[in-house]
Amino acid sequence: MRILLLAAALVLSACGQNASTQSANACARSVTHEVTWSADGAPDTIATTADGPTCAQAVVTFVVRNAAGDPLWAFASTYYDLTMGGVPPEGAAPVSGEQMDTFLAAWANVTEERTAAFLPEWREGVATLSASAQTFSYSTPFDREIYERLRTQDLKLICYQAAVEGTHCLIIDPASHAPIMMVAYGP
Amino acid sequence: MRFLLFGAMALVASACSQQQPGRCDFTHTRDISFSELGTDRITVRSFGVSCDKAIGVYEIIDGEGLPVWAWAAPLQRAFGDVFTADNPEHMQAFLEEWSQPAISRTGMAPEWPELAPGQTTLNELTYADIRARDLPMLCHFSGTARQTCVFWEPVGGGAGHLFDRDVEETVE
Repeated sequence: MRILLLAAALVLSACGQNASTQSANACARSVTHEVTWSADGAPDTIATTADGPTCAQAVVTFVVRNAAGDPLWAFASTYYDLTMGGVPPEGAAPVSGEQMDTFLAAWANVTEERTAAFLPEWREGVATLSASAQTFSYSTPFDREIYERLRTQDLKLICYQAAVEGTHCLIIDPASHAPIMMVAYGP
Repeated sequence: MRFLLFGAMALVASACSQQQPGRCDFTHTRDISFSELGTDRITVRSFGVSCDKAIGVYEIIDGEGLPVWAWAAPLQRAFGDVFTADNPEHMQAFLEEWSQPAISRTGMAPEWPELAPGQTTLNELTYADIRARDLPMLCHFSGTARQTCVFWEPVGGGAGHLFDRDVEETVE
């Protein structure tokens, strides 16, 4: 019996070493959120995660997977850049796990819209989409013809935070069935 | 007694397992000089239930341990069907290759009129200013024959996206 206890203690002690290695990564957190976007009746899963030696130093990722687990989209930034902009100054306040969880939950909770109602029209004869919009500054990888064709098809749109005051909006391309970014916008 | 001993050890050992079998969670790091503030570190990692469904993340950490740049994509979507579920060694080799960026200066970036629509998210004034200041520039692969280039901003102490470019080299 003594041998059994000794062996168990040895294995547990090795496990403890593993655990302390793991705890060196003091900010490993994750939140998931379901959204119906890429296919009707088969919800996609958005996972937002934080990873860093502290939560103030965390790199955060935003990943959308379909119901089969195939990755549709991924985006990465830093916690500080998304919440304050840039890198933390010397003496910046620490970020608690609870603060990070709140941020990750809000980040995963994307805005769901329709292209026709949500996106500005790119009027004919106007050089850029931004010049055609009123409230925000917009950029799109498409020319006017393609942008307007996609916009008026009234596709499902999900929008997520990509900067302190910047948002990216994604659609499923009806031709390729692949996710693509339709616009980025901000003040 | 012997069965009890092995059973207990197996039970405890399995509870301690850090890596789930079959997953594609790998990391590779490399020290570089980008920010001109000392040694920076690049960390590239993959994660996913299998390597054909993995996400890749590219991180640049400055000498003070602060992340200054992060980029992510589904690897198969960005780099094609080269990642298979049954060949994790290929992913590890890819990460090692991926962690080697091209470092130059923003003065070598193309002039504004040479950029195609969507190649940069900056406006002309900002882009021209960054280019004229000839700041440190790091370009990493973000797709097959495609690189994303970021600049180091010494005033703010951070990095930002400058432009994307097509390149002839390919990542094996």
